Amino acid sequence: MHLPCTSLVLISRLISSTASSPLVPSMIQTLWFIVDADREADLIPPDGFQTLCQDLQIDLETPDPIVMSYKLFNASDLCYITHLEWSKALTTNQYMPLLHTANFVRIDSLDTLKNRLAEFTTLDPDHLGDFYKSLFNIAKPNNLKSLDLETAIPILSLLPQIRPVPHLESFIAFLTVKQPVKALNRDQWNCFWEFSKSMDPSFVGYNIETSAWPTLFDEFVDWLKQ
Amino acid sequence: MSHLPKADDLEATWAFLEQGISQIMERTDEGLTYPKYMDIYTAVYNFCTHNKSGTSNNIGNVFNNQVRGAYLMGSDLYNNLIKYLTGFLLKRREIAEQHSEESLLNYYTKQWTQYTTAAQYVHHVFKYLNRHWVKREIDEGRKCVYDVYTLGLVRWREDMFNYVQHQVMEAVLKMIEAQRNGEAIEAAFIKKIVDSFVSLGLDENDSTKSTLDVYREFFEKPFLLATQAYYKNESETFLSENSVVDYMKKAEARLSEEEARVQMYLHPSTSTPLLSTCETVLIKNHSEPLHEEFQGLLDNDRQEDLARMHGLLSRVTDGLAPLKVKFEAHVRRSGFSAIEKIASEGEAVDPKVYIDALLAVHTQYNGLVTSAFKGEAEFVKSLDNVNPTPIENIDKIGLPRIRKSKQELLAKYCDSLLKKGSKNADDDDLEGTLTNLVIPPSGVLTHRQMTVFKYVEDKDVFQKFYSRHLAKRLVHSTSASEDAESSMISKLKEACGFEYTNKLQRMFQDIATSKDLNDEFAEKMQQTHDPSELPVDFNIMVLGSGFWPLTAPTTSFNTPTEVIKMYERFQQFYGNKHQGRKLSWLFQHSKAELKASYAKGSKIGYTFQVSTYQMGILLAFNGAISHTIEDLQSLTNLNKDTLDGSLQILLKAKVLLIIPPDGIVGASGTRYDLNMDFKSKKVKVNLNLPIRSEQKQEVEDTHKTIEEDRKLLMQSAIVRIMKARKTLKHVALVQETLSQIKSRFTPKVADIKKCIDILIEKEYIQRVDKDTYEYLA
Repeated sequence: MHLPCTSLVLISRLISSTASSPLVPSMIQTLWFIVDADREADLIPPDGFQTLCQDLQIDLETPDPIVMSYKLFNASDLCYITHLEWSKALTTNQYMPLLHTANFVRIDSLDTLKNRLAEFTTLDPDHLGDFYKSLFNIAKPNNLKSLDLETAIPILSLLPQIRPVPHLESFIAFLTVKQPVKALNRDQWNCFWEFSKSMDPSFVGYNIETSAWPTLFDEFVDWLKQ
Repeated sequence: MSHLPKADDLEATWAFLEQGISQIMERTDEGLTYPKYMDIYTAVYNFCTHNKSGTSNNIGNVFNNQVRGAYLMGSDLYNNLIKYLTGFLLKRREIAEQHSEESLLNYYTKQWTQYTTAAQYVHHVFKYLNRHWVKREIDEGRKCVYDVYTLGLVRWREDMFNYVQHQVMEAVLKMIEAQRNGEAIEAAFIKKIVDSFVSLGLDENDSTKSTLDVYREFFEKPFLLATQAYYKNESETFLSENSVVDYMKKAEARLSEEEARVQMYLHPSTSTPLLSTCETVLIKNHSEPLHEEFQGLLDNDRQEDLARMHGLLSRVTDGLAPLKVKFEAHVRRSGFSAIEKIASEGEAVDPKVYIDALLAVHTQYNGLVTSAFKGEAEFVKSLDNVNPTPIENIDKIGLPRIRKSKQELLAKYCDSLLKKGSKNADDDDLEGTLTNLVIPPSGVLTHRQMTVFKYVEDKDVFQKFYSRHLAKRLVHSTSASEDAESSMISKLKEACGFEYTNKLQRMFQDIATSKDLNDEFAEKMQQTHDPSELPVDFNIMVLGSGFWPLTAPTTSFNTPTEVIKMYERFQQFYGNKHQGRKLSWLFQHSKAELKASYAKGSKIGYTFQVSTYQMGILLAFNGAISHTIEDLQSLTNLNKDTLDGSLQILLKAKVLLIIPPDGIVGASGTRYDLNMDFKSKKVKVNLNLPIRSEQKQEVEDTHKTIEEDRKLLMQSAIVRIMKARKTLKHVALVQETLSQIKSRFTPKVADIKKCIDILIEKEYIQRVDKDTYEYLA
């Protein structure tokens, strides 16, 4: 059988060959060296993250990499994984049974690996809201308070692959065509989730005069009605 | 006393009494002789007391018989009396039933009068029974025992009234209807019927008191029903055949007629339900056509009919509300059309014409409110609410020519009044005009009356423009009268409060302080410098930057060498006097006078009144009589706009000449020569004219600063509210912000929302729920 020589397969081989005891710090460190990490900055940079995803056969065109960042690594930045996040994920993360030897399933084929991966690229519906909210933090640069449209729109566009998001398409159109803002602030970002869930398709009863939604949504509804 | 029946013989006694009673009842008007009256009274007395008087015969039974006997004897008489009355009334009733309509009323009232009179007599002859037996029975709590007169009424009610009241009422209502239809009726019958019904209202618990129960139930109720039916029918028919105006007259007449009816023959307590019934049927049920007619009446200025309509509709709840709305809209339209007329007359709007037109509209409707609407506060408010010419609406209704807001126009108008050389030279007149603009004239009826200033809802905008004009008047000393200025300020203060005029007042203070400062500085200069070192007259105003609507110059400027010493001396002088204060020189507001002795055309030379920038340009010609545009630029260091604008005026006045003559001002390669042949009829030449682009800029700036100020005002209000409340719902927050800001301007809800958005972004507040905010310390 031919296995592609990817880092994760290396990882699994390494683990399976050593012991059935829990993962020890030295082991995590070893894995850190295997992945494409930037030793000086002590983090996995975007290209390393990309390689990691490719190795895990996670499609970069899907929300899966982001979901994994959120679920597996609890990452604070999109496409970055810090050393701390890495070791935490590998030792304590509840979604990380893969590398815990106690639960270890011998990965002898790509299929087994992919089956395990499915666990941390799917989201419990209850966690969707939290996931959505955390996207804002994950996606925006740390030194800024808002998320520019160039980043926000591609991320929003991925959401329907996880769950249908009403009004998303028109909202994105509104942001792209009308360009009412250059960036979304946290309030606008957070509110969109609620907004999308609670609005009926034709916005019946939406009163621009009295709504408590951020002004951006008033403009959006106004724009749609025109 | 042998002709009296024996006291212990009931039958004989009753036979004797019955004869007397029927004499009273049947032939009341014949009266009763005194002996007869005494006989009957005595017989009653004897009968009720006969056991007491016969004690010697029945010693053994004394005690028993005395008590029981009195009881029994009394009750026998009482029961016989009831029987008699019932029989009496039955006969009368049978006769009554043969009558109908008016003759029934006639009979009923006659019988009633006689019966009640007779009952009074009977009551008296049975006084002993009343005092003892009846009293004891009542004391012991027996419900159905009354004193004899009351018993009479009760019997009437039971044996007569209950049978005939229906027919009686029918006859009564027929009469009233006849009267409503304009026929003459015998109102006294109805009055008597009303009185009889009222008298029959006996309080079961206390026979000395009466209630209106019977009257309410058997008279008032059917009467109101009949009234309602009558007027429902009449009003509908009338309205379908006549105009609303005529109907209002009719309704008004009907209402006063019904009021008179109560006075004439009804019980006073009927007044309220009767009128409210009539008001519902006559007004409320027809309020729609009335409301529809309102506009037509307004259009034709039918004051009398309007007053009538107001009078009618004010009687029913919510009757006036639609009128208020329509009235407001109408006044607004009138304002529009007045403005439209002005706008159609020409491009430039004269503020005076504009204000006069508004005042005329106001005066007209104020008169209407006072005369037709009784000066009612609500209508005055409607008039106040009217906002006849908001700039955006003007645009909407296709009047793009008036681009200025009314606040701006009003401020400009004030400026024209207060400026030197205004036409309103007459002081009294000016005072009156200002008063009219700002303060309600102090009439008793019209003390809430508003004037143009009240039309202006966004008073902060007016304040901005006013302060700009004031600043100019003060800086350029063009104010006509100090008294008029301060009078205006105090009027504004009266209307809007201390805070509103605070800055304006500070401006006056600064001017006063500057005068002293100049004197001080001049004195100091004379002490420390030789007069030859002081070639320039120097006058300065030091103005607090927080109070004046002045901004730093937009261009750099090289202070010319001729004046730079003075500039530095003052800088130093002021720096010593007030350490830590920073002076910004507002050259764009400064001016100078230059003496020119070069011109060949005049021996004494000319005096040029110029702006500081023009001074900079002209002084450059002290060095050479010709400069390229680049030279001038580097010498003065002015930006292109200012330089070009200043040059333009100098060229136009032919102080300078452009080379080539057809060159474009400010274009590179152009040269500017001093015109040695300059000629002017006047010795003083005023070149300090406003540059056109500057003016426009100014208005724009004003609007911009207003916007900025408003945003800050709203944000600080929101933060204040949230700080106090910690958490608040969206709607409540918007409401509170509105009410806090209202006195200054009327914010749009959308603007408040934007401010909320900004504050969330700045993390002053955060959204805790979809529509709830929380204050972040």
